[in-house]
Amino acid sequence: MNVPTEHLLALAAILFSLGVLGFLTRKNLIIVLASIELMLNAANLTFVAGSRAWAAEGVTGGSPLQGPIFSLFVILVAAAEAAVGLALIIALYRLKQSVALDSAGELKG
Amino acid sequence: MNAYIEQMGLIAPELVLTALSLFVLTWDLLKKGRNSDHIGYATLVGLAVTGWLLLQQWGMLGDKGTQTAFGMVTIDRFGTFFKLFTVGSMAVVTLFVMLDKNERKHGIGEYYFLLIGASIGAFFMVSTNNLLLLMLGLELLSLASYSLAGFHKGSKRSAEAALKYIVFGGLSAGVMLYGISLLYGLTGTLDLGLMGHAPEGSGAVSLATQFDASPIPVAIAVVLVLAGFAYKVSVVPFHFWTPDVYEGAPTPVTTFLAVGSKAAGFAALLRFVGALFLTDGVDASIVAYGDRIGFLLAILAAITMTLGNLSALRQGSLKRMLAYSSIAHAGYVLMGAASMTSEGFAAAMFYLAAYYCMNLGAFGFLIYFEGVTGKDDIDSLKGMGWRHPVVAWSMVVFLVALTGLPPTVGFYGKLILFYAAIDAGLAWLVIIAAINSVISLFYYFRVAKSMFLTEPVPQVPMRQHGLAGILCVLAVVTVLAGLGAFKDPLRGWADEGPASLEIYATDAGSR
Amino acid sequence: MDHILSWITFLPLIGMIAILFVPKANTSLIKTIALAATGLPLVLATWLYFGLFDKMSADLQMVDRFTWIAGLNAEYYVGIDGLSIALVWLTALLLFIGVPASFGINKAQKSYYALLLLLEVGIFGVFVAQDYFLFYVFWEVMLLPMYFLIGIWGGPRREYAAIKFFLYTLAGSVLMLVALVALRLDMGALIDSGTAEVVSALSGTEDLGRNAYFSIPAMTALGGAGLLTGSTLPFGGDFLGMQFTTWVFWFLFIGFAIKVPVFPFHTWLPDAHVQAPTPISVILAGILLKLGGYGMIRACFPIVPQGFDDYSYALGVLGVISIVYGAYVALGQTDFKRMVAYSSVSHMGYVLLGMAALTEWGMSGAALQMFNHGTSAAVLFLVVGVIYDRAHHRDLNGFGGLAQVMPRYWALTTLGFFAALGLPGLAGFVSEAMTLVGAYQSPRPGFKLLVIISVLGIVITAAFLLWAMQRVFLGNLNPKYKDIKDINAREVLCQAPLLFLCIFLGILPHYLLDWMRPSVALLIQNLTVN
Repeated sequence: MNVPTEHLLALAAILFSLGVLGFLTRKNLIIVLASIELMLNAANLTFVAGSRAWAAEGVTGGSPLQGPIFSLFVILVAAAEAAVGLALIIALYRLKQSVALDSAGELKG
Repeated sequence: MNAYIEQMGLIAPELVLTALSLFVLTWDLLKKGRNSDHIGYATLVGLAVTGWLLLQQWGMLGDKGTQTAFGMVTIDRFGTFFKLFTVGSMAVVTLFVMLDKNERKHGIGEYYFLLIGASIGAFFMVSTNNLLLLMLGLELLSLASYSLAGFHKGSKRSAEAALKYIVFGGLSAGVMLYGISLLYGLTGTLDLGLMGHAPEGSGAVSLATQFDASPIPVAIAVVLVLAGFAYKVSVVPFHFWTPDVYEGAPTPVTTFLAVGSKAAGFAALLRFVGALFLTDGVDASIVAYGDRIGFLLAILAAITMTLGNLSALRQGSLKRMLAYSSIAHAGYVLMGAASMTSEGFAAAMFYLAAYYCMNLGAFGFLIYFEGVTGKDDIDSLKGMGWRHPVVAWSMVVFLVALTGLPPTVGFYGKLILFYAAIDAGLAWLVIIAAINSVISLFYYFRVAKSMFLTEPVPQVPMRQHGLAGILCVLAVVTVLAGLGAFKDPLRGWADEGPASLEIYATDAGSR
Repeated sequence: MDHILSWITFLPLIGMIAILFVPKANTSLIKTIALAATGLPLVLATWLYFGLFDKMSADLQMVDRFTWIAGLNAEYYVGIDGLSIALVWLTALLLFIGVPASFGINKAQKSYYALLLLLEVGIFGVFVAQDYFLFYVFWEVMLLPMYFLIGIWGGPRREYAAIKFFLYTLAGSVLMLVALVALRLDMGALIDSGTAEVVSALSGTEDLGRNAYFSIPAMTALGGAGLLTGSTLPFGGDFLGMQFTTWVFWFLFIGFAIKVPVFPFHTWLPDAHVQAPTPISVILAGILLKLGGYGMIRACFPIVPQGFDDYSYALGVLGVISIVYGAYVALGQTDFKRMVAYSSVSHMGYVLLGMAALTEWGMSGAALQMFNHGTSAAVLFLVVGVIYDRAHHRDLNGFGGLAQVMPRYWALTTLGFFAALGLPGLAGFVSEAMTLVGAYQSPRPGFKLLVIISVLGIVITAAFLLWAMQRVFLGNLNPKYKDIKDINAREVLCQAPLLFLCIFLGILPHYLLDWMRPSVALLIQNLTVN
């Protein structure tokens, strides 16, 4: 039942890498935003795993809840970012009828 | 309860700004469609109050910072220095918005609301030693900036700028958050003071200790966090969004991004690097890896200034050129951080103050020029010098300052940076920076050339006395500061900033 | 009179600010202010030269000194000695002549005179500054007005010439800046350390106990004592395999050499000269080039005498190359002004050769040559300006026989040419002969060979000047110019004082030499590494 911390960290690292990979390879803006969410969740997982591990060792660095609290805030930040991001995607869609990253080509140089 | 109120007093400037943002939004709702200048004046009054409070706070703060809100907020001179300049630049940006002919059509209340929101983010970002609040401040600043960049809803360029900004901003936030989570995992704390120096029984492990045990995870975590900051201050290789966003965003917003947002990013970067690696600050055990980070920053600085300057050479648009120039200047400021000494940090702070002054001027000129011609390319500046002499000569002062020539504050700032870097053994970096000033002369003076050296093309002489006045004042300040007129406040403030940082860093552990 | 140097330096600034408040259309008032703002410093400088200055002393005189930027330990520190006083006077004279010489300019006169006065502030400042920070500020202040003066009022390729001038000079000055920052750090550490050596080196100067890290006299004292070696810097006096002093020497030297200009840094000069309007060419050749030579003997060689000692032969070689190459290229020019510009490169080569020899004759000759070239080159550019104003071209082959229609002009030009080619009895002869004799006397090996080669430069100089004279004034009259007007009173008045100086100093050179003798002796003593 007790998952080792290493496994959690490895999973987080894989999630993070997937997020970066998705960001770099996909052209659809919505998928790009989703990839960013993946990276944020990797951070969440690491926070929670780290918090559990430190608590197990009795090292708490101020408050044992720092890690979980941070992940709550990350979720909040992710939501805000998604809200603004989707709004901007809609604005672009109205102007260009496309949600592909390539359609943004006005600014170059 | 009294203690609680007292603690709230410490964040009074932030509270005033928050109240101001809500007030502006509400008032705009009530006065829909009527004279929007009143909102601008209200904003200016609010900013003045905030500035006054900050000055009071500066006077009350000693060399040592103080903490509130359970250690989340750190009020020290380092942060207050940046807050003062953020407020100052916000006031100038507000004036720009009020005077910019292109900005009247849109919901002006929301515009101010977002600007104020962004500065609240910047305020918290520069006044915390806790990575959680730092991250939240940064996100608040970023989210407001994303919306501001896309404020011209109907404009393809604006929408595209905002989208690029949020996509790359989201990436950097993800990278940075992952880095922070690793740092937390390694040290068991989010407090930078404890991370830099964790005494016995504090319940945390200092990063230096962890570095000795497992260097690679520590290096990865630190580099990931630094990447997030590098994005915010547009350091190569995280700069690629800058020209596009600066060009597409409404010009007053670009001004804020180039000045306020960048300075806040640098403040957080300096605090982070300072708490963890400042070699003359904390204890000897971190010197070894502090030097390595210094070297990394020095290389980034060299690449950033060179690439920024070389790219600026071939820009036709003044706005885009200023964007690349701001990348180059990020490289100069980074020299100060790379020195890894208190003098270096003070020099970086002073240079940022100088940068506020000259860049506000340069962007103000851009707004004026766009108002006159509706264009932003350098070739359309032809004859500007003869039609608008006061504004054009002010711009020459800013160009001289940006190039780093005396007698302007740009030179003074660069000189101090060079000191700090040579003193830290980075003579090669100084030589690269010096060569870069020569390169930068070439593109800055293309503007002067266009304004003065070519025959005027006929255009409608349209005057904007308000803007011209602001530019004139900024130009005079740029020169006077360069002659040492404000040496006591400016140099003194910049010198005391890192001092408070350093004392805090040594002190944090024993708290 | 107290603060006379500050008055001389900043009177033009007052004039400039006054001009800014005069309406654009009131050009006669603008010209009057410009005349007054350049004339008063000339009066003061003359008084200073003949009245206040003690020519028996090698010390700095008329010193004004107070802390300016405490955070940097920079001072407002001005003073004058035998090396600079003649150049200050020459500056005042040439700028004063520059104003009436500019009366022909009709474009944007307000900006023109304002920039001219700002330029004068910068030049005066460099000659009187004794604090390196102040020196550098003035040094850079000159660039901007010069850029606009060439760029706005220049010839067809003015944009190119202006930015080229700016870029070259700035490249030199950033090298200077790097060296300056390093010197300042070393100075700071040395003075703060307060060791007995430092104290004894500084004793007898005003700098003892002042913490003036930028003071040029203090740098000279410590540099002369062999203490300013960068040993306090992080790289410990040795950077990338070369000594600190070597780096500093070359950085400073290149910064000044670009201004002189010394081959191979001279390529900006012909462009700038050809494109600049006549009065600006006069100032450029007459004064700005001297700043480079002056900078070397004030703020480069004495600070790092070791570097000078190690590389003096290289400097001599560069000087000779400039002499011969400049003259040779001048020979091939068909543009009158370009020819004169290259002749400047050649003439300034003597300055470098004379300084590198490190003998009393060589050094005095170099200092004299700077002054004499200031007058003769100014005359030549005025001469070119006269003909260009009338014919609107400067092609040496496009004239012919002008002596018949412009006898007065021909007479003045001949005098100017003879002064430039160093005819005995005229000023140029004295100084060139002194530098060559001084170089020949030099105990350092190889200088005799250099002197022999540089004699070639004299021959070529005579050739191109006489050939140019023949093409322009002698032979058959070009019918196009049969109605051309002779030189007018204003133009004669501009040239007359300079020509007078050429003759006067050819006969009585001690009117300069006596003033500089003690300072030159002190300089040589400082430069001699034992």
